[in-house]
Amino acid sequence: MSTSSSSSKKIVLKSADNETFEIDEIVALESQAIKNMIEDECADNVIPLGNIDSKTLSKIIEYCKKHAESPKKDDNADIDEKAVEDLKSFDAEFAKVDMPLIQDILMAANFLNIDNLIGLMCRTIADRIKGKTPEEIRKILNINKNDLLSPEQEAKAREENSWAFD
Amino acid sequence: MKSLVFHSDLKPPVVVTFGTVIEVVVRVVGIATTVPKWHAEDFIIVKITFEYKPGSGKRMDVEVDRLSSLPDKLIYKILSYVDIVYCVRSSVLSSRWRFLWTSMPSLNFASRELYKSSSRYHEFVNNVLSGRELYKSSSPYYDFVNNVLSGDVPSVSLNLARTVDEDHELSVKRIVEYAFSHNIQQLTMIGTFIDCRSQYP
Repeated sequence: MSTSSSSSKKIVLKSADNETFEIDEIVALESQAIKNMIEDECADNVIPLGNIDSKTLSKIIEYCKKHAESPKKDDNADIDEKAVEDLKSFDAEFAKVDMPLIQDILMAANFLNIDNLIGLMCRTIADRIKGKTPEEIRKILNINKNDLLSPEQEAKAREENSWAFD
Repeated sequence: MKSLVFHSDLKPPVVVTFGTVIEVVVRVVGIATTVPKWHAEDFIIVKITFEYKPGSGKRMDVEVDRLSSLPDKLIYKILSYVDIVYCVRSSVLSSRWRFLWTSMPSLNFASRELYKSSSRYHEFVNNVLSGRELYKSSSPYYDFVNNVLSGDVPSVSLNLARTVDEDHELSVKRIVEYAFSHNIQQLTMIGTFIDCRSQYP
């Protein structure tokens, strides 16, 4: 494995719609899946990501870049607080996208194994459905109409845990 | 270890026991599609490959909404940020969600919703835990949560944030009983009950 020039080494990611993204290896390493590939020397020059479209992938790269260049927690106590705040507001801005894209990012982050991003997307989805009625949640999450319970099934579900619906 | 269960994006969980096969290829077409029931007995696993068919993105099947195609573990994670009362309510969302809450590996009993309700806390705790038990046989993932990786069951964490009274004691008792009877190996309880107890002997 050639680890000598890790700081400047480039990795190319290719999206499902055949767009290529050249990024620093350090950015790609935010993905545990890609990190494993590189460490196992399974990664070719170009890593094809056949289930991630370019719109989603560019968002993910934006996230990984920011998180890769932010000082890690144990680096320096002084930078810490400011960097943490900075990252927090970045994350908050980052999550201000529509629900389909959030779900695409979540799927992709899960595939690429980017833990922080999975957490951020799950929290964002949770925040958007908090305190909403089932009808509202179905709309927000765009739940497939073919998958809905029949009125009888729904009544049974409510009855089984009626205490939670009071 | 007798067998491994691979859960990942596959439904039902892939069960493979140790034996003789060298390579197992699990083919996943897209993300949301189901994989046939998969039992390979007497196999040794050297390598498991997850093959993704290039270009078969999540939009392949427009019948499945994005969130419903998420693996359970991600939905559990979303629900872990949601008040437990709403987790229970999620059972009416769709058939995909019908029994999901009953196998959530982490339960957070610090419920804001509950403060609004007049019922006693231990009754609430009891309702949640009994609701899960009710589905023991009907939830396909219940076994997963309880028996994965040769008895190495996941932890259940319970976050109790509430001032203590005898009601609370009953709740803790019920939770501990639940943990024992369900072979939960790690029970995390975060709460203020120890401090409060010393204040109110």
